[in-house]
Amino acid sequence: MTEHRPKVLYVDDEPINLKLFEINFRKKFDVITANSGPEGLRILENNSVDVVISDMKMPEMNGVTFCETAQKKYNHIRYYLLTGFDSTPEIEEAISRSIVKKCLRKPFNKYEIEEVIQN
Amino acid sequence: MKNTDFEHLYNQLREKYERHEKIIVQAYSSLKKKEQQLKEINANLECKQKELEEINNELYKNNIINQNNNIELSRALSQLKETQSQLVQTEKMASLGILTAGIAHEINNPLNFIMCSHTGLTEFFENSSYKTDNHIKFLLDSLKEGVERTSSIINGLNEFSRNTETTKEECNIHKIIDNCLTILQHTLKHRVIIEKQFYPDNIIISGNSGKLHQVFLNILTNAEQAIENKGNITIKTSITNKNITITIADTGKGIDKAHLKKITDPFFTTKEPGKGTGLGLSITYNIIKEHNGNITFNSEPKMGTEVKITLPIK
Ligand SMILES: Nc1ncnc2c1ncn2[C@@H]1O[C@H](COP(=O)(O)OP(=O)(O)OP(=O)(O)O)[C@@H](O)[C@H]1O
Ligand SMILES: [Mg+2]
Repeated sequence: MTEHRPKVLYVDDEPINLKLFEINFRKKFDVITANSGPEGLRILENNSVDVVISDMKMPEMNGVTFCETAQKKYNHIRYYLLTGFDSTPEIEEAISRSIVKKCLRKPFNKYEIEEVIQN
Repeated sequence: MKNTDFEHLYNQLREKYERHEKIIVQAYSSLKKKEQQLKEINANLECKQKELEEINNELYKNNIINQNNNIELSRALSQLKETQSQLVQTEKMASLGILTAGIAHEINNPLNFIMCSHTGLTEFFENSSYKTDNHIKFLLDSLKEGVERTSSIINGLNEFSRNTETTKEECNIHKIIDNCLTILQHTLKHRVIIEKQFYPDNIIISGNSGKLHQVFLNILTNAEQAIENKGNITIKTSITNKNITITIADTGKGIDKAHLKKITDPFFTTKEPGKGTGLGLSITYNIIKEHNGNITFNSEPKMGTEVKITLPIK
């Protein structure tokens, strides 16, 4: 089997969320995690990632800003948000400008996320 | 007759005639004078009448201007009241929205911990000898049920922070009412029995979800506040051809006949300061009108109040 294992970068400022994401998805995907936007950008420099999933509300750089910055350099990656918020105008705008493909909700739904990554 | 006699008679007659003539001339001239005076008086009167008419006209005009001013003033005043009431209510809903959005975010994160852990544990047990253990299955299912229920409450709360102007959203009436009951839960518990007589299917209409939440929150809050000790609130929903009807009846203290007409006026309240601003129903009325619906109140003092809302489905 030479099927390509998707490589996923998950960005969230809550360490528990990072660990749990890894535990849940490491069997199917290569999971890399980052606890902030800037950390995520550093990781993208050295790794070829297929999908980015990012929290929205983070201290240094919010999810939309992170995806927007990353997309300018890495246009082939698919970007998603995973957030506890109802959608906001900022998120709506990011989706309409095709920066972010979709906004997923917390608490997470494993099958929804798997589908998005494999898609 | 003698000549002298005749002369005498003639003189007498003549004298008489002359006297009469004099009297007549005098009378005539006096009449003329009177006539002249009358004419003058008449002219004077006409003049006065014209003046009066003019004054009258002016008074009338002033009156109209006054009336117009009054109408304009009272229109401006009611507009001012309306705007003020909208501002206060908007602010109230905004702070409720900010609060609930904040809570939603804070709670959804730890909920995510539980949900992810549940998923991880489920997988772990799937691959272990506990795969068929009923207790483990029950524990895991309960975890999931708890998360899902909490999350749906949180999503309901989020509805209150919506602030859009559209009236084309899909609004699930039963869900909206349930969201409001969730918010009021702590004041209803152990005191007010809620009886739901819902139409068996979902009722979906197109409208503004956030605003319809406000409507039912206002009406249910009034019903709850009208019940002094214990009582019931009955919520009925039904569908006819093109309309839906929602009635919310309480066994509270009712509304005085004299107040019934005023309850939708902005700032009309019988509640003590801090408990009511008198805005709930004026806002509610406006929202129902925006949705091309109707709202009526039926009340019997000391017995209770029934609020009936009709809304078009489309
Ligand atoms: N279900 C009810 N039972 C008895 N009285 C009611 C009921 N609903 C409304 N009222 C009367 O109508 C008044 C106006 O209601 P409205 O909701 O507009 O204002 P409020 O409840 O006094 O204040 P707010 O809603 O701004 O907190 C109330 O003060 C009350 O006297
Ligand atoms: Mg009220």
